[in-house]
Amino acid sequence: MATSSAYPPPPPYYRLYKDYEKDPSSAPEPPPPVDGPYQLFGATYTTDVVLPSLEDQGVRQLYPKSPDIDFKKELRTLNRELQLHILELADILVERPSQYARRVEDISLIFKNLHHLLNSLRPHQARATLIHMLENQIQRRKQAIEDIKQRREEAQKLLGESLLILDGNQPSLPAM
Amino acid sequence: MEPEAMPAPDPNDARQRFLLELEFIQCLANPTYIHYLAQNRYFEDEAFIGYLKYLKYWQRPEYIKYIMYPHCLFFLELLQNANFRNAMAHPASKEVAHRQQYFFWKNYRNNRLKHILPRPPPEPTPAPAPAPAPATVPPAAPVPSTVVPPVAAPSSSLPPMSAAGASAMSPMQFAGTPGTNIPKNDMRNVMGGQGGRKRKMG
Repeated sequence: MATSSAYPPPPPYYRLYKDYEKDPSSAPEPPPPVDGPYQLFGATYTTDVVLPSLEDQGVRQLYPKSPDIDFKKELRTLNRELQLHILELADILVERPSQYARRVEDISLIFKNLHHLLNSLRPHQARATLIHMLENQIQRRKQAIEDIKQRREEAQKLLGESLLILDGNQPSLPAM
Repeated sequence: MEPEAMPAPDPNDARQRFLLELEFIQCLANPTYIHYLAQNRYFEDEAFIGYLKYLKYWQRPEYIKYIMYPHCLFFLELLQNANFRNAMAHPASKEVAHRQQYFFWKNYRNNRLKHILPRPPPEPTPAPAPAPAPATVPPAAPVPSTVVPPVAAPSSSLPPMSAAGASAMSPMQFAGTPGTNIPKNDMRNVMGGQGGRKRKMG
């Protein structure tokens, strides 16, 4: 039955949960969450959401290794090196076409470093975007409060004028 | 094969069981798989009903972060209802659920963005005609949640798998992520569709 169907059968130990609604302790407890890499539907996931370093990926690092990197300077430097390497590639293709592979490898290396630096900036970008969204929400709510205050003052002003008109009408009434 | 009670819990066995249940509960995001379970009379087994109730522990914060297909939690809630379990045995109800799941994936995000994006003050002109999408729009209530946005399941196979990259995607500006409670409200017409369909068939 199960071997001929196109879908996986449920875990066979579901039969242990016959009395789960009446007595939850009669069935096995949920397993604890896993840590680290795990396989899911044939693909590998990991609970350690951290960006692997370039050396872990087998790529040479072109910028200095320090916890405090000047991203702007390093990105500009790599961009300049990239332009130079593209110019060198053009020269090589003209003079010695058979040696283009090394230049292409160098360009690829620079691109990998650039991409790694950009990926390192993504958490910062996420936080900055969140801050921007929250600031916009605060600004909109403050504006709404100001609008409410302004309309409240207008309403009070109208009420005051109405009261003045009512008071002003009193002398015109005939005395008893 | 029924596993016997182990004298000492092995951490590797607990890990395998965790991954097995994670895969099974995410298969519930596919209405065709639920239809397959109903056709094979799993829902008539009292132990299986208890197992479905036991699987609700995946809604806890420490477990929900492993869910890649959050629709499975919505269907798990629906499966606690005996009427839904009976209805899913019919191919027509399966088609309704799958179609509504597709419409949710297609329209919910856009409709919700209309409600959470800042709008100018209401104009005296009449409101434009509503969108022809059959999915209803829930009230704008941003829920802080780490649930992955819902994805559509193909009709003839298990949900497609895409490996999660090491670099996190940068969030879209003003883009809201639907929480686990929002899909429940939005896909309530599925129950209406089920009821209508059942009444017609009965």
